[in-house]
Amino acid sequence: MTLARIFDLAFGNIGRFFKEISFRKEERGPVSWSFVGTLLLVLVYGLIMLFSASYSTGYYRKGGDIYFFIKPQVIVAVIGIAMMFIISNINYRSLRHMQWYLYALTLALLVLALFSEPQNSCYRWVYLFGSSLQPSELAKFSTILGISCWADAHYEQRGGFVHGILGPLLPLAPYVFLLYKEPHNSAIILLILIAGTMLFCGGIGLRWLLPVGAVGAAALVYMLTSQNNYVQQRLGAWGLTSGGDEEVLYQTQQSLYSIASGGLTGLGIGNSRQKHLWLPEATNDFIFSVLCEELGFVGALLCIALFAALIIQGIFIALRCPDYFGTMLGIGIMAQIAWQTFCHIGVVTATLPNTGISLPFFSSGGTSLLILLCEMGVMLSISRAGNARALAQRRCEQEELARRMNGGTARRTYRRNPV
Amino acid sequence: MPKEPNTPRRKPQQRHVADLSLRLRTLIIVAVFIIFGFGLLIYQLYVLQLRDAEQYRIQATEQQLSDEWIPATRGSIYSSTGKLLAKSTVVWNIIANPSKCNQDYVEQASQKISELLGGTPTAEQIQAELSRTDKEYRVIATGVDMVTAQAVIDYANTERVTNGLPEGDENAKKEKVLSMYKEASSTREYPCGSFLSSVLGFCGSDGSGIYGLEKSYDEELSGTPGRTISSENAWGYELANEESDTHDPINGSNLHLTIDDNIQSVLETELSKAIEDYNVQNRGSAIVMNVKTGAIYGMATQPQFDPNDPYAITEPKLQAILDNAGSALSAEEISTLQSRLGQDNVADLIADGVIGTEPRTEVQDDGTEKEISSEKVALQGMIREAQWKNKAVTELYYPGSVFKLMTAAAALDSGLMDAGQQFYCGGGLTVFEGTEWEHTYRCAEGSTHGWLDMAGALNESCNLYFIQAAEKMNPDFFYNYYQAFGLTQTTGIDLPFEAKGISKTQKEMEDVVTDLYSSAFGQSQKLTLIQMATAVAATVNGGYLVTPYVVDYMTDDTGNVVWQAEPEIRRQVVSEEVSEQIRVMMENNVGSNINDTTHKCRNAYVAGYRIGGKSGTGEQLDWKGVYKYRPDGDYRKAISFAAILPADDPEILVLVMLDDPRWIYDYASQIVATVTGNIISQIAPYLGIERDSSYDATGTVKVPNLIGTRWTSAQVQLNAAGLSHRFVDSSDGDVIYQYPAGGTEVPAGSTVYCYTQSATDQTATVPDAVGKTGTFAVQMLKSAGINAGVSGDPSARVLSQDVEAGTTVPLGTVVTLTTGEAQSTDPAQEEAMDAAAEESPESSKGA
Repeated sequence: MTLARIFDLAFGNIGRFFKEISFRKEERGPVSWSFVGTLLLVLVYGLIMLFSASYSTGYYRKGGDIYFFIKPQVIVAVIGIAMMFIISNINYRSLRHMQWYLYALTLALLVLALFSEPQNSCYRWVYLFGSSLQPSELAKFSTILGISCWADAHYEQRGGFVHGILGPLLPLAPYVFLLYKEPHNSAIILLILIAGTMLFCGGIGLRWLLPVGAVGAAALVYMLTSQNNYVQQRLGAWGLTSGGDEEVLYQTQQSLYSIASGGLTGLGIGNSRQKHLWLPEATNDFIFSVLCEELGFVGALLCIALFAALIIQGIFIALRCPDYFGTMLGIGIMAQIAWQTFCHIGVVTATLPNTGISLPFFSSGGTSLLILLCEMGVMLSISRAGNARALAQRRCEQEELARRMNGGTARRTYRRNPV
Repeated sequence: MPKEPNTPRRKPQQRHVADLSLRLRTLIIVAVFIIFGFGLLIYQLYVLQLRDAEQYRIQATEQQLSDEWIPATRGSIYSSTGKLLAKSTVVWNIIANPSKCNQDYVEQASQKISELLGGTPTAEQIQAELSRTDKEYRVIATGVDMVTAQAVIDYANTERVTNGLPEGDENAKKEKVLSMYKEASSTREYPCGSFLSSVLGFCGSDGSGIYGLEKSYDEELSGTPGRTISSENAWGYELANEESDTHDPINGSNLHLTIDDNIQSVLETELSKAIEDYNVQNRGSAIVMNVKTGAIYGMATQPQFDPNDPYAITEPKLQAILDNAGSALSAEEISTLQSRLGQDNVADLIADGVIGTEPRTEVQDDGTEKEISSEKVALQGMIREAQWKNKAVTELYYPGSVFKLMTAAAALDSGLMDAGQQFYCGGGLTVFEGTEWEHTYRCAEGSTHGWLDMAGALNESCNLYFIQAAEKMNPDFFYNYYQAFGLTQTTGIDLPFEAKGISKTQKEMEDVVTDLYSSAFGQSQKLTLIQMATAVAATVNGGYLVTPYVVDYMTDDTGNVVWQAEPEIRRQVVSEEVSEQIRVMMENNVGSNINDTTHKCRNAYVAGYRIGGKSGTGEQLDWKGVYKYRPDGDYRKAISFAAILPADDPEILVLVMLDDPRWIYDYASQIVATVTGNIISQIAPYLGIERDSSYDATGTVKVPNLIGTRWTSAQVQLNAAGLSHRFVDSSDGDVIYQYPAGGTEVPAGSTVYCYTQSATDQTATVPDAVGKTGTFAVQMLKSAGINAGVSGDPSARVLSQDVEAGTTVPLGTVVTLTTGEAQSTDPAQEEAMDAAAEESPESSKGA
């Protein structure tokens, strides 16, 4: 009966989720502490920069409270780290069963956002339990999870058009539509970039990617130009091509002022002048500009290097994962961080057209940070499986070695050193 | 859960493992992303932060740094007696940026701001300005004092709750709803109105000098503005953690003039009286100069403008023409415009007989037509320019016979002739006979003088004598001296827009004999009055050409003298001996007896002074066509008189010029000599110029009987008698009544009140002079219209007066004051006097 199917879909997955929620003992290795270390460095760096970038805005725009932005961010960071470790103990495979719940929840929130109070005539926020929340952040993870699940479920058929392109991408259409209505172009772009990366890396619909990508790119251009026709203006001063006298929008111009003011070593932490209301969205979409101004080229390089280290480590975790689902999940999460970082820095340096993209772990925004840290928890969970398998493999190898050498079980022998 | 048997059972999930190609693709894409993606970003950062940082950094600094000017106070100008002539006050303008004003609050704010500003501008006016949201710069109020301005700005900067919540609510959104700030500006005030305005000039709306001293000393007066450089945020608040850099302004220097306001006042009064009396068309000018140093004691141009409102046209005749623009011009109006603005300058405007009020079109060089302002607007501009000009420095005139002083001095100094040299005046000299250039030189009024020596020729002002003298000198010598007198250059006076004059060159004099001849008696050159003043001074002061100046010294804020003028002698033009001879001849021109008609300049005589003088009635030869002659058929004149005194060792030069007078006897010796005499009679006693030893300034003189005398002659007679005069009702025709009457003995220097219209006395009330010092009491009574004689020591106190205070008496009544060393009625005053008396011997000892 279809009814039974619906019940199964609605409740059975919960059961399956809890059934698989814990690691089997042999699958539960230690987390990758190097990854955790890099992550904490990025996070602390981000919090320091956020405080520096936000106190002036908080003071002038938020009624004299210089802690307006940093206080909730720190609280969320602490909660998020706890969540991260809790989630690292959940078997990531159990998440397969949650994908449709997440999908439905995300859709519901996206719809709800359209009916919530807009800010700057953008319907990007929902207000629940006294706090605001951006469903688009949830949509990113939902997409990652969805594609991973689909690809895992249709592993054999993943090269074809129906299972390789339509299957994983069709569920994204409502997201894109709703985000388009909000409007939230940067989220759409990120969704598409994440999905594209996952499809390419996972070998899903590989043969179709080129034409589909071309169609997608055309649609993207159409979408941007149809909604607001100042994209050309938004294209900034390209260091590669120009002497820099193009017309750039006020925001971009202010960002360039900040970055250029920094020079090699910056004005010193806390000394940005541009953050004093000159730079719009200094706490969020242009936080990297403040970083550049205060810490200079050196600080910016350090930041980029930390992100590069985080991404590489994350990708290695993903690739070491013993199963395809986990690999895809890991690649997806790291793709999100990579693309968001790239786009954010690209925008503030006027390499890319101006659109609001936050810098992971740096920009203010509780939802974003909490979800990012939860995703890091998933990465740690994946790392446990990978580490467990690696440990097992090493143990196997040691046993094999010991067996060969001793012809029996491995036994530690102590030999007294001759005096 | 029931299971459908034919539903395919879900296979247990099979685990797939990431294959090698996935790993490869992923690693490659990560490598590409890191190397090229992040590489691109790093390159972009390198470009922005290191390679091209400078251009952005400059722009960033420009926007972040608030560079606020602190205006320096413009220096004041004082007369030599310390009278304040010009001063500046710093005021503030209130500026709004309506595009950043929250329109919900504008009405309420306008009310309050208008209240703070004391009602002007009104709330409606402010609201109208603040509502112009398309504008970013609107001036709300000007000339506001510091306290008021700050109150308005503080009000505007107050943050207000904008989301309707009560004050103090934690969700209340507080922000600035108005965008206003203040700008410093300064106003220039001239407390004496139009007094000395042609010398002072005025300032433009930006506070910089446009004309006069305000222009020539603009740099010194304006000082150096200070600056405050500080970092600010986008809302204009200074950043707390940045240091601001403040440089205090250096206020402008104060100018202390050589011009004495009392002398200037005499010049302006006499000049404007003369201009009115003799219907002078193109203003008049007068200079009083120290002949030895070049210091200017007075420099007047009448009528002049009011520097407090320089754009207002002060001459009623000209304003009337502007007001009537659009209707046909009368002949008189055309004559006024031509005379005042120049025949050629107004030719186009009056060509059609109407001052047009419609915009005109002008054909450009490229053939296109361009709209230009109407004739009325153009005329208005010309009139303004004309009224701002300092006539003594900027405008030219024909010096006429006054120039003969230079010809005479040159001839003597050249050694080619001595003062005894005689030439014959036959009444006429014809040059280029029989050619189209034929011209006959004659003396004024066609006189024939016969044989004359130099003194006689100068007295008679014989043109033919000086033509022959120039002929003898030939152009070589003549022009050499001409240049030496500084007549081909500016004098270098510290006033702007000095004209150089128009003179014939030596070559022209050599080529065309009339250029030499006419130059010899001042009819081919047009010079400025100040050029003539320095040249005349050079002939009488021992031969030295001095540079005239009006600024004596400058002081800074605290009164320290920061600059002192040094008299500058440019060169010696003629010898001391020649100068001596010229002085003798000049004194002979004036003489000391106004009834001796052989002294042609006798009308300038003032009792007790040795005065040298020379008159000059110049013909304005540059008028063309039918306008060559005035409507009454006479030639157009510029009449001037130069007087020096004392004649044996001159201290001052008085040079007066009236441009285009229209009067029946408008010759220099008739009119300007009298005006000069009037001036001397007032300024010479003030300056303490040495008098003839036989003249008793404290004695009495007999009032001449003036009834039936023409009013001009009456002046001359009174000056010669050592009496002042005032025409009570008007100055026109003959005197029909005078008070005190002829034959009365009055104290020297008393004023005789003359009537030309009615024989009825006008009256004055006698003030109470008892208790005042004698000299002060005399001044007090004089200003009340009453003459006073002092019996006793004039520096002692008045004990009694022979006419009771409060009595009504005719103007000019003589009241005798008796002074003596009686008990002072005011002990405090006595003490002060005692203190002064004690101090003076000590200070003289100290010196």
